[in-house]
Amino acid sequence: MKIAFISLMMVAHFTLGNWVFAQERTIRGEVTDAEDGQSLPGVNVIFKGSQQGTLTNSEGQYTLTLTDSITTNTLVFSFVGYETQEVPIGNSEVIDITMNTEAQELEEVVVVGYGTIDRKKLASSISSIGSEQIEGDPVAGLNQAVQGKMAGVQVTQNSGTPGGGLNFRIRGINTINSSTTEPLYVVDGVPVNTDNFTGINRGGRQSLNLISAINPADISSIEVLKDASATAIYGARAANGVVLITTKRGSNGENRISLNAYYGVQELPRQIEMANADQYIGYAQDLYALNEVEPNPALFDRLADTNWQDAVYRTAPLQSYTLSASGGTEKTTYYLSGSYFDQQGIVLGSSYQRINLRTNLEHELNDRVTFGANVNLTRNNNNRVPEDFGRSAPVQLGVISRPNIPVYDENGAYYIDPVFGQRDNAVAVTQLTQYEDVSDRVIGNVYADIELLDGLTFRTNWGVDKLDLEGDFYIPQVVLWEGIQKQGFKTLQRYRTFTWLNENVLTYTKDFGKHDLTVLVGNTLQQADIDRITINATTFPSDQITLAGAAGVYTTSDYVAGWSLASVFSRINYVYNDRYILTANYRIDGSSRFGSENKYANFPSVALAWRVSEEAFLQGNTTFSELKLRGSWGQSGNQPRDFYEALPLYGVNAYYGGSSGYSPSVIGNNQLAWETTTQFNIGLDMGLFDDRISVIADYYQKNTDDLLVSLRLPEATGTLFTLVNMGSVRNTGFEFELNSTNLVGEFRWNTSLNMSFPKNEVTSLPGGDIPDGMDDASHYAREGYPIGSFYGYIAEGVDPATGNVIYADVDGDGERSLPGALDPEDRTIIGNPHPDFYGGITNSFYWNNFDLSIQGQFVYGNDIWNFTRREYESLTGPNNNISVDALDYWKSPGDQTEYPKPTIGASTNALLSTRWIEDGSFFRIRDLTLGYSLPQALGDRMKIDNVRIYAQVQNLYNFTNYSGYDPEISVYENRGSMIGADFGSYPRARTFLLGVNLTF
Amino acid sequence: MMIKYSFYLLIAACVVFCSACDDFLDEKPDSNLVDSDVFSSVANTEAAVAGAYRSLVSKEYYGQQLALVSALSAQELRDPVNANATYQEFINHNVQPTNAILSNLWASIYNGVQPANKIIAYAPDVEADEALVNRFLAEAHFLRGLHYFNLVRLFGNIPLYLTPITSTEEEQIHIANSTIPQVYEQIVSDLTMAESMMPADFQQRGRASIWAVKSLLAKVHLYLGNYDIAAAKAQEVLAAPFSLSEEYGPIFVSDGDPESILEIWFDERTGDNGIWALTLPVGDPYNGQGVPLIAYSTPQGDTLNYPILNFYPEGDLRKESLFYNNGEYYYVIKYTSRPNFDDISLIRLPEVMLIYAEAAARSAGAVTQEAFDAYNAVRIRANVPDAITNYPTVEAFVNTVVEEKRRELLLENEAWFDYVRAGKADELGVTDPNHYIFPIPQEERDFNPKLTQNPGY
Repeated sequence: MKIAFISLMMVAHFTLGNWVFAQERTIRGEVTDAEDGQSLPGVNVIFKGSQQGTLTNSEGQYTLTLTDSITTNTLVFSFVGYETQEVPIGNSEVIDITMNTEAQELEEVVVVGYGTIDRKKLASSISSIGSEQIEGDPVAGLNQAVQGKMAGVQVTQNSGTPGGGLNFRIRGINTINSSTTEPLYVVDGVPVNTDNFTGINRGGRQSLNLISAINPADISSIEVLKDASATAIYGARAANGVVLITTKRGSNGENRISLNAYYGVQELPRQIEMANADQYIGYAQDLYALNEVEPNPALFDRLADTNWQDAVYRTAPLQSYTLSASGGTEKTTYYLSGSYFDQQGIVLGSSYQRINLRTNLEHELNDRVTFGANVNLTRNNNNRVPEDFGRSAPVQLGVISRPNIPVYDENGAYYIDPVFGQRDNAVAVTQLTQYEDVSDRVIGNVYADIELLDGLTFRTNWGVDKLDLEGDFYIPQVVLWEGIQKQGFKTLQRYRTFTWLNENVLTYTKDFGKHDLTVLVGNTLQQADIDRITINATTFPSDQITLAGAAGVYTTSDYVAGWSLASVFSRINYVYNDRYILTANYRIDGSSRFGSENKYANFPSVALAWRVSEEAFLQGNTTFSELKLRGSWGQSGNQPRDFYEALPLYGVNAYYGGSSGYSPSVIGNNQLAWETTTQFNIGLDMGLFDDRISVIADYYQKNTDDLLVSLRLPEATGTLFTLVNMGSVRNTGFEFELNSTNLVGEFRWNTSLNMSFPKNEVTSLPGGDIPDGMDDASHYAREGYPIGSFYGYIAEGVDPATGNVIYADVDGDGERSLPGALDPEDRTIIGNPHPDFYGGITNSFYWNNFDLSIQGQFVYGNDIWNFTRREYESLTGPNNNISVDALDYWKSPGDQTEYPKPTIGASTNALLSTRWIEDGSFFRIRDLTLGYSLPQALGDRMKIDNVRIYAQVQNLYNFTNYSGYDPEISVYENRGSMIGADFGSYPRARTFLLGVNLTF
Repeated sequence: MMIKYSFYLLIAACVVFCSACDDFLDEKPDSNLVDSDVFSSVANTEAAVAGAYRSLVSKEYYGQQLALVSALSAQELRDPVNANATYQEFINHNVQPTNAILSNLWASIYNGVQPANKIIAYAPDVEADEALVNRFLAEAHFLRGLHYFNLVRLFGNIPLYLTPITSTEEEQIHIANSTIPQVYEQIVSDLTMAESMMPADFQQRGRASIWAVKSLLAKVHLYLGNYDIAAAKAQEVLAAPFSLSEEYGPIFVSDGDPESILEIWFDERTGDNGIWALTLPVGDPYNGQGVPLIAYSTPQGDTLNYPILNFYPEGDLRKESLFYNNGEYYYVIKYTSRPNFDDISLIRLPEVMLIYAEAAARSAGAVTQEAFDAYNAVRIRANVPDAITNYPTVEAFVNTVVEEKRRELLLENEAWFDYVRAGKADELGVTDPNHYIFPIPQEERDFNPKLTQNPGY
């Protein structure tokens, strides 16, 4: 292989050689690696400003001929992974050069709130990834692009639904149930609306991933602000961290057109092994015999042996095309792109399409004034299937539907279960239910930078974020139970938000002597309007016309709301002698969501850093190329999810007796205020051996006080919950990112590893436990335990005498829960959904024009509530099929087994208990990518700057003991108080991709 | 120097900016009304009064579950197919504090209390003519009296919430149990207020009227054993322009019968009356829902073990109207329209007649002609033959009246409470007198530490 490749290059070389033969003057030389002195083959050597040049041969040598037609006097040496060098030719005939590997991450410019900074001068804790890392990893959304790549950032794909939502958790969960756990997203300076858009809700809680309005291919960098010194400048919305997304822009003189395209297929990685028809019939017969109940004999008919998972899942294609143009002149730069993404889901009937257009323009009017605009237009089209715990969710039905009935009857029509008439045919659900959400989103801003005086600039930025979401849901009046009952059932929803923003910032920058100072002050106003209209209609004459107007009965509900935020902020960044760094921020936020007594809040922060490596005593030290100690303290806030909880309110939909009626809905709380997170952070940035190894490590402690809690009131007050500030939670953790260049030279090997060790504890909860989740009792926030701890009975195996599950007598009153006699006091904390640690590891290998990377992602030590398994291993009744494992159920007294007696009627075998809790640890081989870049010379002849083709497998294999489809799952997203539950969640696919990146 | 300058600038910016910001940050809710907006307008207050009735239509209250609880406890409905454990607790008179129907019922009845409290507290400040404000207050007092009457009969020693909740302070949120006499004292006080404030000419479908107030007052006094007051209030209603409808069956599927004193109004916008879903059989002709709760029945057709059918004598027209046999089971078919927006009867004339019959006989110490006539009118309408005219004792007459009331008001939330009141609960299979009232829901006690449990639970 290697030989073949070198031969190919030789051929390329000689061909090129022949072509340039009749020249006047020859220049030759050798290119070697600066570090190890090894010769570098395949280095691109061209005359500057032309397309003419060559590649170094296998000895690292090159020969070029200078002709009259060549006007430049400079050679350009370039090679993937190395710094490009320009060398004047002069009169030399031999030009030998050494090339340095490309700059390490520690030298990059990072984006911070309202500005940018050289990472060396950064005192805060910020993780960032650049466009190379994003492009190398073709994914649907930017959240996925971040997954497993940053310390302290846990991205959980709640479900495999195409276009489905993700959870983005930065340094743990610091809110319980009334605010979001999501960070603030800021796209090119515009904080965008990431409220939970569920679209039409069909039983589940899955939302749409609307931040995926941004095409990952358009992103030049993603910065995640983690410590308070970085986040405090975003004040009241920054307690969950801030994600800054910067999109690409053009640069002077480099006009290029790029095409990124990939195509792939996805499949279900594994099935849950369920009983076949004969096994199910045997179970059903045992069930009735054991319970001495007269069965419905139709239940035992063996009409088919259907594997419903085979019926529901498919191999589905995935494709994406992005075409972009960028470049510019001295005064004007541009970046334009258009993209199309199409993913068919592995569950029949699900798909996601996205069309995206972006324009980024910037123009320099004169020496002092620059202005520009960034505009992003997106259409998302989600075709979903009902998910989670909906009665007709195909993922769930695919597992629990009984196997002795067929998918289709003898006439090819959908078979309707004659025994369980309310249970839908899983395939029919996917094919007949219309469940479409179409969203249009515009995110854009215009800005102007004006240099008022030397070093003093004024920036004004105006942004909008507009979202229109239209949901269209219809169940026809045939085959599906609900549709038959309601003679067709339709839900139409229109949801619109419009958010505008203005921010004005004055920045003063001055270097004098050893002092380096940046001062910034600014203000911002942001305001949003939201409205929603929902129409539910039933009783249609036929399925042909499904307009609400054609329906016999319909109801309309509408909702209008708004919020506003007004803030001032400031920052001082001071560096002395390149060594001592001070950053201080101050922000004052006013928010419409708060009580009249607490409209405004202050968010200060301060950070100090010491670049030890600049000190004299470390000069000349060969071990440390960079060493920086950082420390920060500060505060940030979190707002309530609801807009008007502070006011005593009447709802207006209490219609009665032919007239409209109002009824009390919210008690109100004029003291309502922010959740305040006080974060302390110490960190270390270290570069070793000329930055071949770089480490960023941080330890943090976040104390969140005045938690926004929906306080449960007695029912007799007429209001179940009211929002109060009460209680505290603490998140502590250690995290690090390590980048290592293991091998350099012809064969290069880089490793990046990041790990986070978070710890979460509710430190105070004066109002008592806060239950949540399944039956409002599966997850608890309880003082002394992590948020969302699992709660229930402790199962101690199956009683050989009775076949019932035995539950521990936790309260020691001598009573255990038995059928008909529960002892709820025996419930206790039985699981922890928070991991001990999580992270990612990426190994990249480069050899000649080949690149190979393996990305692993891992989570360790978290528990999962497997409510899906509860459906097929409770063994309560004949409705649900059971797993092959559960066939070992209790059959007669004396049986020793972990699966209880099948029961009909009163049973305690399905109680929320340790039976349904599993270890959620996993190590996923997330991506395996093999790429090949065409040699430059070949590219030259095709007039292409750069060609890379690659093949990738995503979700190649998952090492886990979890029995469900996938342990990376959460049905109750965005609610810190109920994480880690699996209930009919759409499984993630394994994907095989082929892709190409072309640059002209 | 620069730092100092910046801070001045920041402070200046704050001052200029924040004076404008209060307005900017004053986001009025567009989909809700703030309390002060409601009670500053007559029209809005009118809507708040209408909305105060809304809790009655809830499926967890009159819309379904109250009827279910009473009918199961009174041995009028059974669930032979599913043997739902939650239902069995009522049938077996062994209701657990964790029973889900019970806690739903508790919640939905109390859900009606707070709207009434707000009107009672704030309506006097509404600028409107006095008669109108009095009517608002009368309706609110009536509703609050009705809710507490239902609560005290179900749960006994309940907490009294009488003022609007304005904060989460302990004394507003966590209220201790009152005794049964204290609760009745509050009910009588509310209904008496309603009686004094309700304009005599206010008659509106689905809403309280002076007659509804007096009827309920008669009933409450009957429960309290104040038979003379009960008889007097009932008599006032009997003198009012109501009359028995000619036929029994159509009362429940038509609206505005001459005998109905207060019906809960159902229509497309309130949603359906949930009782049909509980009782009507699947398939033709009623097209009920799923597996219904089945009235007295057995697969073998052995009606002897199910006395409610035999409770109706041969020839009683109500028996034909109320029961349907699909060949396998008997079903109760009271509200039969599909889709079902039949109004649910809350008080109708026959009940007042029977209240009068009992109260008059008891207060007179003898079965007077008026008492007998009131009772007999109900019988005659049902075409029950061979009325007994000679009662050896008042007790015997009262027993007959109470049994007649059970026949007349099947599925109207009365027999269970009435039998308990009349000392006939043993006939419904209750052995433990503590179980004449249900336990305080455990869920409520979890969130109100001041609540004590009823004895025997």
